[in-house]
Amino acid sequence: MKQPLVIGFNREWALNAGKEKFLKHFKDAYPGHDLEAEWDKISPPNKKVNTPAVEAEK
Amino acid sequence: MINSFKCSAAGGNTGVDDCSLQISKIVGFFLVSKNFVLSAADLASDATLQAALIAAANADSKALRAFPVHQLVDIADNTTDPTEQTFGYGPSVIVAGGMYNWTFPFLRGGLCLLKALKTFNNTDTRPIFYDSNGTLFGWKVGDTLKGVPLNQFYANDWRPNTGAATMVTSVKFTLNPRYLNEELGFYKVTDFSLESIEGLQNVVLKQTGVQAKPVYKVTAAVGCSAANIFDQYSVELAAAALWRAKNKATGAAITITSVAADANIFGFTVTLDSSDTGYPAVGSIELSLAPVSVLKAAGVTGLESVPLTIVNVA
Repeated sequence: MKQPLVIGFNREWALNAGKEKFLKHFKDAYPGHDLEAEWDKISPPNKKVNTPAVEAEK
Repeated sequence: MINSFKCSAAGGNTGVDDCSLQISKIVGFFLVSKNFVLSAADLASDATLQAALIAAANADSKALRAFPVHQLVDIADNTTDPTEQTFGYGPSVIVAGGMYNWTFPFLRGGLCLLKALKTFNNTDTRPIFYDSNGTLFGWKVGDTLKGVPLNQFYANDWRPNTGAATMVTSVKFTLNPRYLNEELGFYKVTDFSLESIEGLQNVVLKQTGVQAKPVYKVTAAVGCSAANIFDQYSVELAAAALWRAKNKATGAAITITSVAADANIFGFTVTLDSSDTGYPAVGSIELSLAPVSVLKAAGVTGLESVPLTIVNVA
């Protein structure tokens, strides 16, 4: 089965709903689609910020 | 500005200059509401007029919208003669003016356009006409141009092809001539074609496939030929912000959580928030595209959707 070409998520709803609800809400609508990756686009995982302390560790 | 054609001064003087205004063949019109107005600012230049007409043709509110009809192909002029009284001794006087009675056949748009125009029958719709030389004309009110008040607008039933003549689709206007004589307003366009101002087309949404609420699959088609717009707008319309859903009974908005361009159905998968207080587990939902202006800003131009009713059953 071909996957949807483009999905336009309601970003505001998604951020208010949170990851768990987001994944549960869409698992039947988009079976087999990488919803984790879609969530990461909406709410990117925290990255380590370059602070003087981080630089000192290097 | 309005009436900038340099005719001789008013007041009944009969001297004329080297040029004269002639209304040529009437080839189109814009149907507008009684409150519609082209202001002095709109009529300041071709550029401002073009912008005003484009905005009017794409207005979100139908009460403010101008509905263009182009490429009229003929006129049947059944204008009534003035009523004349003849006295016993011979002299006669005009006691009442005649009435303009114009019927315009059209080919472009055919039955689909006729069906749309019939929705204006028995309404207070008013035309602003234009001729083949780009002269836009209507009712002058102060420094503004408005639609002409009519006795009647009527989109006629179509007449069949007789073998000698093609099928006829036509519209009829009856009006008091004073609006286009003593109260005539006009603007001569030179820098753009009035025919380029196009009306909106209806997008018809249809459910397709197996429904599994709150996920709904729909297709979107345009025009008389019901052409699917997926190829043209699949990327643009895969956006929750370009769709609207509401509880048909209460009018409450329902949150749309996603819209996907779905090549499996050559349409769109619309997902609603079933925990939204407006969402009816059992009941009707009205699904549509966003208003014309929102679609236009997203690059989806010239379209307005007809709401689709979706029925959720237990």
